[in-house]
Formats: sequence, structure tokens, C-alpha cells
Amino acid sequence: MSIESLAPVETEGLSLGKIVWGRFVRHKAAMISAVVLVITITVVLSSIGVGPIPGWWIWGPNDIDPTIVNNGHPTLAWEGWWFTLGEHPFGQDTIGRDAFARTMRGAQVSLMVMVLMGIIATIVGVVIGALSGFYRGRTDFALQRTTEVFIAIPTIVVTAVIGQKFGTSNPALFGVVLGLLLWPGLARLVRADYLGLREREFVDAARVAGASDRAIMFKHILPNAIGVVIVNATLLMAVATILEAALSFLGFGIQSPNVSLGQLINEYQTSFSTRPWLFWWPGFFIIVYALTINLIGDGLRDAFDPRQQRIPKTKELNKKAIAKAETEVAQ
Amino acid sequence: MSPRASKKRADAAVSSDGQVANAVEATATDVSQEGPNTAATAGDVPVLGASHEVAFGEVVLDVKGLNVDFFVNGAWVPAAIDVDYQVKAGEVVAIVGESGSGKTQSSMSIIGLLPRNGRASGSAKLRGRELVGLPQRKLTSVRGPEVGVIFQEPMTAMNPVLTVGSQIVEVLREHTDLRPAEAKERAIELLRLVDIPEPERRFDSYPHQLSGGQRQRAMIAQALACDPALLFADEPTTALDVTVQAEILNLIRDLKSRINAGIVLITHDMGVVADMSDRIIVMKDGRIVEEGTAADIFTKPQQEYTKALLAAVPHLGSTLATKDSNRVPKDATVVFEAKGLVIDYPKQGRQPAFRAVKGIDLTIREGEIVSLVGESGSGKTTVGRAAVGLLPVAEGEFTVVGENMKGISRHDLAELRKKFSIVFQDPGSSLNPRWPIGQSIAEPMQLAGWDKERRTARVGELMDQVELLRSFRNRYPHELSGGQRQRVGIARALALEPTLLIADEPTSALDVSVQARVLEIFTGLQREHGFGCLFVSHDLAVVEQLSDRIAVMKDGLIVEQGDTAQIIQHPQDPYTQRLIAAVPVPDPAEQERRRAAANA
Repeated sequence: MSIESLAPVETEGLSLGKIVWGRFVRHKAAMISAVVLVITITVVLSSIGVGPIPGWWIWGPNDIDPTIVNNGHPTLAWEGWWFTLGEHPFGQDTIGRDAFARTMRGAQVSLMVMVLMGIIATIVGVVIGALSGFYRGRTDFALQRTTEVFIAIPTIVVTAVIGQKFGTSNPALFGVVLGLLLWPGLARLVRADYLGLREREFVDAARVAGASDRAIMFKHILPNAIGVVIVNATLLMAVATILEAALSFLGFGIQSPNVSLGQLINEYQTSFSTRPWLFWWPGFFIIVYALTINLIGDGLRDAFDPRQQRIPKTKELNKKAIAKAETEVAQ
Repeated sequence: MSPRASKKRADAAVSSDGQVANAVEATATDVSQEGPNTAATAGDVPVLGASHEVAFGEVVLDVKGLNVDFFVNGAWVPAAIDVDYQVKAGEVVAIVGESGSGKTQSSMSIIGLLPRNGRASGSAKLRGRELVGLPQRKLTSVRGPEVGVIFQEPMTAMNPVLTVGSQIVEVLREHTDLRPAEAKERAIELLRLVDIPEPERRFDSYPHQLSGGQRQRAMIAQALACDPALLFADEPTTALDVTVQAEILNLIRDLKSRINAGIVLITHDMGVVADMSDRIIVMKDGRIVEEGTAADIFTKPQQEYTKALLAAVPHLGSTLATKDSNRVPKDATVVFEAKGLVIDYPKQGRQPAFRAVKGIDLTIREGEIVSLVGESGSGKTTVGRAAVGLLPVAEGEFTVVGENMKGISRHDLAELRKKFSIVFQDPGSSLNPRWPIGQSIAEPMQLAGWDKERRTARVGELMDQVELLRSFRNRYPHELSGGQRQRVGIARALALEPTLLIADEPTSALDVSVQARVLEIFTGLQREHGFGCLFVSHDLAVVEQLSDRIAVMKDGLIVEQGDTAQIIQHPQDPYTQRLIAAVPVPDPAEQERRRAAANA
């Protein structure tokens, strides 16, 4: 043994962020979901390109291929140990548009709506909930009445109007509006958590140390309320994907020539019996988004909670104990 | 062999044991068939203790070779090893040991209240019936009618949204055939038994509407509801004031003769068990290290550990000889000065404003430790909180580190906060549970604008001073023991070398032996840094060890203040005298003498 290893080791002080990241990386389901989501987003963005940047796929979402390959069936196929994309991997619709390109564009638009909506709703919800719960009194009263007004606004009517007016031109606006409409639920939950947490002694301790109200609200209390925030934010994002799909399906959301996953499903609903694949692929991407985001949220929440620790099930424990007893007997 | 098969074998072993059991077993089954409360159903409320069939001196609980393990970080860690003891009816057996000695877990395992990662093996027979390995479904018929439990913290052990009465009635209705009206009558009877004033009115009170002592009494009433043959009392007085503690101990002592049940008293405080228990079991690291009658353990302890536990209980008057009343020069700078100080708790919702401190005078010089002693509700903590600017001053003069606290501006207060700090009572809640402790200690420095390198160095230095390993800095508070957490609290408070430190009952949540160590560290640091200190506490024996002067507070007023020796030896005010008399001493004879004096 060398002398160095005996000397006291100076432990580096890790910040909360670093520790949480370390724990998150060890969370299996969340890491797999993160990898899947990153791959999906990479494919979605690079295939048909974003804005002026061209992608690697030959067709655009609204290009028409006059020759209908293989009767419009998907050309994606297994060939030995590898698969080939073929000319139109997700198939073609009746007028010859490439379903792959259209799904990719739809996935891009839906992603944008989802992210914008998720970020805006979370920020607004957390800030309003935090101010309301932390200051109580008049601030709380005013903010809670505002929240109630927003709860009373029927989301579907507002978004339908926005969709009719701007659905053809600007899908981003759609995300922003959804974000500004869907924060009240989160705000209520955050407020409830803050009302309880502000009475805890560590808040007084921080105040005596000289922390400002803002630092107490967002550096001290927020990590303790993060479980609610993350679960809600991820749930909201999944809801946004589905809400956007539902609105577009009803014909109120994003309008042609813009493409979104829901709008694709709406557009192809009539061909459900003849060309079901046009229906499957957008649905598949909706599921991938909703699922991966929820699993990542789960992982984040567990990473923030220092007490989260997997206790093996009684069965596993018994198995281990027996295995140990057997090895002891063998010895 | 599959786990299921092994479990079956265990069950089989239990039943064969059961057959071997003697006549006691037969009595037990008789009782359970007829129901212990048939007499109660018949009409008038029976005299407690008459309804169950245990004779005085009969063995109620027989524990043999009990092992408890916990699955922690991939391995089984033993919490109790080979524990043997017996409890007879009408007897108080005290299990004494520090936190982590397995005293609580060994008892909880008997009634099947282990957490999911725990397991128990061995044998524990309640009146001949094997309890270890009994399925939960059957255990529910044991808990309540046959075993009662009194928990440490009645505020958390009782359901805050149900009235005290309905919680007792629930137990009665669950285990007996009483009709609602009869159950209510019986519950009121029980509340009367535990000396709760106006039991009819208290029946409809919620736990938060009762005082700490009354809550604990209500919980004892609940535990006694079905005349259990065995009563576990898990640190029943640790969360209470000294005088209330004395009352509750009196009640338990009194019940012992009235209810004819075996009582297991679990505690870390040798002072508490001194005149309570017939036999004492001392546990350390999961094993019983010493066992004997109370008189034997107290007069001639055999083991070093028992001696250490006895020594850790602070004795009143033991350090007076070494006190130097001139330790702090008379002309030292005054860091804390209150004149006619009045503090109100502001109106909150429907609760009206409340005057907690009604005009006190108190001075602390630099380098001096002044203790503020009183029971809960006396306003002592309020003074501490006002001193660090957590509560506004209503009237009077209040100068802290040269600044007038009355109507102080936010900006001045922010500046002043670099010069004082506070150690809170419960380190479990005063440290942010989501922050690693290194970050918690560094926070005051970060807010004072120190750069990262300087902070890291200082955190290491502070952790050395409070004798924590530097490698602990990335741990979360819940990964530390109570004593370690409180040291983190002290380190954080000392981060900026304050001139004034407020210590708000820093050791009341700790074991006696851990308390001794933390106090030692605290006094050492105080001598080294020379800060002025307001030490708030309810425990006169603790206060005597470290303070230069003592002020006794009652109902928002200081009833007496003076040099430590003077207060302890010649208390003038009757309240101070009562406080001093209530401090438990680890000596059964002395305890008895004092109780007799108090009752006279």
C-alpha cells in the first residue's frame, strides 16, 4: 500500500446539481428513455432538415411522387440481418406523398409544440404557485383568483380559435397558447407544497443565514417540491402531445399545409381500412414521446429525492438469504 | 428449497411449539374466545385490570434468542442479536441503550411493526403464544387487545384530523362488541383514568388542541383501551418538558399497580428509569450487555458501558465547584441587551395576535454563555428568534451586536446577519433535506460572497472542528445520526465567526450520551472562539454544565436570573425550585426521596 492512499483524502464538495445528475445517470429506465428520445429527435430533425437546412431524406413532406411504389405499402423491410428503407419506408398516400417525410415533419411540429408548452406551463405554474404559497395573504388571494379565471377558460375553445386563425401559419403560437392555458393545475399543487414547506425550520435557518426571499423560494424550497413539479411537467408534456393530436384530429389544431402528428391521423382517418400504416406511424411517434418523457420525469424525480432507495422485495430477500445459507453449507 | 417451503416449515415449528405450551396457553385462548371485554358489554365500566386473566407475577412476555436484521446496501445488518428477557405481570422492565442499540427494533419486531427491509427470527411468546412469524392478519388481533404501545411523539403518533375520543373509540370498537355509546362512555372513563381534566370535553378535542403532556396521556389511554396484558412504552417522555415528564412518569408508575399489566419501558435516559423500573436491561449494539434489578444496576453496575450511560446523565450541582463567576470580564462588550422587551406573534388567519414575551430584561456580554430556561410555551424560544430577526420587536429596547432591533430595516438586518447565527432545536428539520450537508454549511459564506476555494477550505476546517469526517460533506442530512446532524448545525452557525450565537435547545432531540459529546464540542468551540451565547433550554442540568448565568422564564416573564451557582443552589422563586426538583437523577433512592418531598 502506498503512502498516498493512507493520507486523508480531500473530498470535493459536490453541488446539488452534480449529485442529482450522478443519480439520474444511474437510473436505468430514465437513461434508456433519454437515449431513445435523443435518437428519435436526431432522426426527426436530420431526416428532412429544419427550416433552410436540408436533411438527408430525398422527399419533402409535401412533395408528390407520381409513381406509387408497391401500391403505397411501406417499403421498410428486413433483409438478412439488416433492414432497408426502400423508396418510401412508411409508404405513400393516395396522391403519392411520402409518409416518412410527412411523419417526420409532423413529429418536428409536435415536438416543438410539446417543448414550448411544457416549458411555459412549468415556469408560469411554478412561479405563480411559489409566490402564492410563499407570501400567502393578499398576493396569494390575487394569484389564486387569477388561477381560477384561467381554470375556467375552456382550453378546447381557445385553441380551436387559435388553430383556425393561425394554425396554417404558425404552429409555435399554438404551443405558446397551450402553455399559457395549462399552468393552473401545476400552480395549485406547487402552492400547496410551498404552504407546508415554508413553515419548516430550514427556511428560518436560510433566512438567518441571510438568504433572500428569491433564494429561499427557488434554491431551498423548490428542490423539496421538485417531485410534484417534475411529475406534473412531464404529464403536461404528454398531455400536450395528445391534446394537440386530438385538436388536429377534430380539425381545430394545426392546419394543412402544416403537418403535425395529430393532423396526419385526422387526414388519414378515412383511409384507415385501406392504408392503415398511414395511421400507425404518427401514432407510434406520439407514444414514443409520451412514454420517454414520462420515464425521464420519473428518473429525475427519483434523482432529486435523496431517500429514494430500492428495497428488494421480500421474495428476492429470501432468495438471497437461501443462496447465502447454501453457500455456507457447501463450505 | 423454495422460500415458500421454508416459511411453511417455520409455521409448522410455531404450531408444534404452541402444542408444547402449558396451561397459560389455555387461559389465553379462553380469554380470546370470550373476549376480554365481555364484562364491559354487560353494562357498568369495569375496574381496569380485572377483566383479563393474568395473575400478578405471571410471565406475560417470554423472549428467547430474538434476532432482528435489516437489509441495508445489499447485506443483512443485525439490529438485535440473541435477545432474551421475560416480563411478568405488574412489573416494569426498562430496556436502556443509545439510539441504534436495537432496543426499539427488538420490541417492535415482537408485534410485527418492522419496516419492510427488516426481519425477525427467534422466539417471543405472549402468554405462551408465539408472535415471531405470526402473519400480519393475526397480529392485528394481538395489537390492541393484548399489547398496547405508547409512542415517543404523540403529535405524530395520533391522527391530527380525528378527535382524541374517536381514536380511542376506534380501538374499542375494532376489538370489542361495544356499542358506540358504550364505547364513548368507556373512552371517557379511560381519559379520566389517565388524569385528563374534563374528559367529557377533551373527548371531542383534536390532538393539536391538547398540551404535549395531555396528548401523551391520551395516547396512554388509547394503549390501555382494551386492557392489554403487555404495554410497550417507547421513549414516552423524551419529547416532553421536565415537569411534564415527571407527571407522566408518575402516571405510568401509578398505572403499574392499577392495571396489572407487564410494562416494557424503552429509553436512553438512565434518569428516567431510576425509580420506575423493577428490572433493567442494558443494550448495546444489538446485544444485552447487562441485566439486573434496578437497585443492582444503579448501585453496582458491572459493565463499563452501563457506567458510561449512568455518567452521561447530567447531575445537578456536579459542575458547580469548577465554576468561575469572573470568567468573563465585567467590562466586556455587551452583544445582547434587552430592556422591557415585548414580542408578539402576529395575527395569523383566524388566530389572534399573541403576546409571547411580556417585558424582559437580559444582557449578554461577549464570551459569556447565558441560559434561558423554561418550559414549552414560556416564550424562551421566542426571545431567541427575535434576536436573529425572525420575529419583530413589539415594544421595549432590544440591541443585538450594537444594532437596535426595533424596526430594523431589511438592509441593516442583512448586514447584521453576518454577525450572529442560530443553532436550531431539531437538526432534522433545520437542515434542508435536499441539500448535501457541505452545501448547507457553506451557504452563509456563499451569501457573504466568498469564492468557491475559500468556502471549500473553510467547510473542511469547520467539519474538523465539530469532529465530522471531511468525506461526509456530500452526504444528505438523513444519512447522518442525530448527533452528527446537530454538529452540522453548529458548524453552519459558526461559519462566519459570529459574535453572538443563539442556541435553541440544541441537544434536546439527542440521546443523553450523544448530548454529552455535543455539549463538550460546543463548550470547547465557545472557549476557542469567544462568542457570546444565548443558550435556550428546558433542562436545568444541561444548562448548569455550560452557562455562566441563568435566567428562568415563565409565561413570558423572567422570574429569576443570576449566576449559575446561585440559581442551582439557592433558587428563590418557587417555579425555579419546581424545575430543579423535576430533573431526573440516576439514583432510585434519591429519586424516591424527592418524589416523597414533592408529594408531601
